This record gives sequence, C-alpha cells and structure tokens, in this order.
Amino acid sequence: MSTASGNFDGGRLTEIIEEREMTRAGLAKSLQVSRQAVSQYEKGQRWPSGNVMFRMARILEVPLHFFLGGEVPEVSGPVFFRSMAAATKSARVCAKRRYAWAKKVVKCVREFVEFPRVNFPRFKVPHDPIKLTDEEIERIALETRRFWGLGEGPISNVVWLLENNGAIIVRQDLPVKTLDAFSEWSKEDDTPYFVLGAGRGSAVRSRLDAAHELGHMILHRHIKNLQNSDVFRKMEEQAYYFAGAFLLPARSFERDIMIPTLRSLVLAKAKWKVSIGAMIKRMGHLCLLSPAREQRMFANYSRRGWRTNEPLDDEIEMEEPRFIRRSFDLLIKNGVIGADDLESRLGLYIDDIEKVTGLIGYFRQSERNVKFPRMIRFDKDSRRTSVRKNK
Amino acid sequence: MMSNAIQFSPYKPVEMFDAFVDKSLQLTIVEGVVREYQNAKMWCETEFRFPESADVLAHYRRACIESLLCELAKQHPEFRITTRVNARRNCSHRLVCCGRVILTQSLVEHEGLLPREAVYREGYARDPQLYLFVEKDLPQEDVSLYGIITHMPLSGKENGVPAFVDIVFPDEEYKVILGRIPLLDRFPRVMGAIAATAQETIPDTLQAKLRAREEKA
Repeated sequence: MSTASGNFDGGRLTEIIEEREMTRAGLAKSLQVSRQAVSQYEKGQRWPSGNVMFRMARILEVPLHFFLGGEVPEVSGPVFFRSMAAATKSARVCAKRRYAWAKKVVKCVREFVEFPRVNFPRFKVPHDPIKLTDEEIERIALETRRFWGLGEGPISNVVWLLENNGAIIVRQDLPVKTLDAFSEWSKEDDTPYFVLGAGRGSAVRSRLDAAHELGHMILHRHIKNLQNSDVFRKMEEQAYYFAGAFLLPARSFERDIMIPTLRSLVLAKAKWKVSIGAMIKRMGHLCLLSPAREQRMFANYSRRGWRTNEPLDDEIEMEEPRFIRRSFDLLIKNGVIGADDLESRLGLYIDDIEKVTGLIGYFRQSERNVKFPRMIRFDKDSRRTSVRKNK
Repeated sequence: MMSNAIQFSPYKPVEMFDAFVDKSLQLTIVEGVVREYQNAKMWCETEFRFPESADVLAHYRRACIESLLCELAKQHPEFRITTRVNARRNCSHRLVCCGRVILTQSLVEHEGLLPREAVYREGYARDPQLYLFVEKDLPQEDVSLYGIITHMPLSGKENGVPAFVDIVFPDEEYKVILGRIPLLDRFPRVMGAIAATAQETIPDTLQAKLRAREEKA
C-alpha cells in the first residue's frame, strides 16, 4: 500500500461517485478493479493503491487530494425538492452533493466577506403541516410581504428580494429536468439556501420556483424530516399555494383580472411575471373561476400549445442571483483569494466550483486580468492532459 | 334597476342613466377602461420598439376597450352587446345596451368634448333619442338614451393612464353635451387601486463587503 493511499477517505469516494452519477460497476471497470473492491474502498475496508487512486482522480475529475481526508460535506436539515416525486433518488442525491459543495464554497467565501443579515419573518404555524389551512397560508403570504415592506403589487425581482433579505441563492444545472429547485434552512449558519435550476424553463417558472421554496422556508422551517410521503405531498401543495398567494395577492390580483380570458392573462403575465397556467390555478383557488370554467380555460390553454411554451416566455428575463458573484468579484479585485486558492481549499477543480455556484466560465474570465501567486498543484496538469485525451 | 315605467326627461340624462345603469356596473366600466389603458400600453411596448409602440397604441387601445365592452356583456346579463359597422363599412364598433340606455366608446381630444362627428354616432343621438326631446306623450318603449364613454390619455408620455373617463350625453342633433358623468371623480378609488398594484421595485443595493481584519483573524 502506498503512502499516498494511506489517508484515503472512502466517504469522499462515495461523495464523488454520487455527484458524478456514476455506477460502481462502471467505475470498477474503468479502474480495472472488481466491483467489490470499489465497495471496500468506500467502506474503508481496503485502501486503493497509489496507482488506482491516481486513476480514480483522473476518471472522476477531482484533484488527488480530494480523497485524502477533509470533511465530507453533508446536508444537515431536510431539503425541500420541488417536483420530488418526479425526480429519481440518484438525481436527488447528486443534487444534494452539489448543493453541499455549494455550501462549502459559501463557507469559504464567508471567511472573508460579510454576508447580509438573514431577515426572514417567523410566524406561528401549526406544528403538524396537515393542520395548516389555505386561509392561514393566504394570511402568512400577505404578512411576509408586509414584513419586507412590500405592498400588493407585482414583485419586480423575487431573487433579489430573497438575497436582499439574507438568503443564499445559486442557480445551477440540476441533474434532471424533473428537478426544478430545492431549498434548505441550513443549521450550520442559520441561513436559508435556495438552489434554482438553470438553463431550462422560463423566467416566470423560475420565479414561481423561488416563491415556492420561500413557502417551505416560511411554513415548514420547523419540520425535522420528510419521511411521510402524504405529509410531504401536502407540504408541496401548501408551498405552491403560498407561492401563488405571495406572487399574486388575492385583492390586487382579483382587481387586475377583472375579465378572466386568456388574452387578459397574457397581459397580466407581462405585469405580474407569473405563468398563465399558474394564474389560472390561482383564479381557481380564489374562486374567480368555477371548476368548469377553469377546466375550459386549461383546455384552450393546451390547444394553443401553451403547456410547452407560453407567450412572453422568451421576453421575460431570468432573475440572476448576484451575491456570490459579487463576493468573488470583491475577493479577486482585492487579491484575497483566487481560483487556485479555492481549488486547494475546497479540494475541487475550478470547473466544479463554477458549476455548483452557477458561475460557469467566471474564473477563467475574471483572472485573465488579475495575476495571483499560483499555488503548487501536483495534480492539475495530469488531470487536464488526461481529460483532453479522454475526449 | 328601474323598470320601463320610468319617465324620461330630456333635461336629466344623468339621472336617467343612473336609473338604468347600476353604480356597480358603472364601476365595472371605469375599472375596465383604466385597466385596458394599462394593458394596451404594456402590450404595445412589449411587442414593438419606440416609435412604433406609440404609433400603434391608440389603435390597439381602441380594440382593447371595444373587446372589454364585449367581455362585460358576457359577464353581466344586464349588458347586451351588438356589433355595428360604420357607414363606409370599413370599421366596426360595439353598441352596449343596458335597459333603455345605449353606449359606445370614443377617444376625445379634450375633456367635455363630444367625439368627432360620425354617421353612426349622429344616428344614435337622433333616432332612439328623438322622443326624449319632444314634449308630447311618448311611446316610452321606443326611447333610448345615448351615452358615449369618452376618455383620453393623461399625456403623450403618460399614455397608459386615462386623464378622465366620462360618460357624455349628446343632444339629438349631436351638437352639445346635455349631461356628463365624470366616472373617475365618481369612483376615485379606481385610480388608488391602480396605484396599489404598481410594481414593487426591489432595489439592487446588495453589495459584498470584506470582513474587518480582526474578524478574519
């Protein structure tokens, strides 16, 4: 057994296998070892040779020292996945791993940068989510607006609103299409985290996702685990209801949609930046439409092909989080930390750091003009070469 | 709503109008017009760049308000809608009937003005109203009061908000206004409601700051 593999941490192997969504069998084949050997590496029952470890780092595209200990970042609280039912378990695990990395990046940045104070309201909500009524959700959504000094009009930018009030938001490529967004109230730093999907879906859908996750943070912050699927389904419904009530307050929305037709909803979409489908649902919740009329409207909606692409979907701009990017801008501008330093501190290549923070290509662009004292990286060149060869 | 037994008087069109068109329906009309002003502006600015957006606005707004009248008729059984074509047959308009009141809508250049002359408007002012202005025993069932919903944008720049929404009642010769209902004055909360749904602008004030050195240590 080589010296290099003496500190091998099996937990980190599990972490990276799950993040890369690789099968153990596939990895074993690439490493030219048995499936059992991989399992034993993970459990710490056996250490890989230096050679195997080197190949492991190359195949999994991580620095060699990734495997040499360091904490395996875990997510402590319950994570509320939007579209949980549709996403596979492996996709959720992968998303959780990426999210844990994002938190690691945030933790690192927090050492140098002052983060905005968390300013989220706390309401008395029934401990059992089943007991929470729609009327209470309606009231809480309105009070949340008031808490943040908002009236009842359309919110210009939901992502900025959440960030201004201390939420950490990243927009990253989520592993599967069926996973839209997720959130967690992190116990480690007592901060709400929102992960929003990037690269697909419309801006209005993403705003609804953000408001939906806000619903979880406000209504279900006290929930310890999400084992019961019936309760979880109920919580999802409640978060959806909250999102509707938060983005489209009953009084002002009702006044605005005096004549509920698809034409008037297109106009309302430009104003409220909420999808037409969600507005039809909201009108149903508010009894502005009878169930039969709602059904008819949805039928017309589908006939126009709006289920796949609604009018204005391409016009309304995606809301981008700013704080992490601005923090990096600050750190790079002041020469506090650079890509190499981050790689070394986090045990991840910069590609992964960019991926989990949603800042694809950021460091290559930012550091073009800023020179940092480069750190010695014994594994970088070998990895890059190997990746190129693999391609 | 009053029945047909109401006695029309040529001198009190406002009272006549109020008798046939409930206040809640009047509110619905003014809210709708104000909303369509906003919607039309938003739509034109979404679809076109300046100056095309400004050029098309008046046409689009007219279509929006005409459609509004049609939608109101669908929602309120008190309203009945008829589509009429103008004399040259190159344009159409909606005629709303509510009890013994008939209404059309028009943009005007100033408050208190009648819309420009048009064959159909002169016709509505003359024919159904004729008996209103004759001091004789009237065959009441044939008499209708003609009102025009008039409106105008606040200014060239503020063209998403109406300066006023009035109902004006022309005489049978379509020369003078016999009565006027300033709906925005009558329902001032409509503009307040519009202000209440103004966008909540979230400021971009979030800046990253380096921690103080001692904290870093």
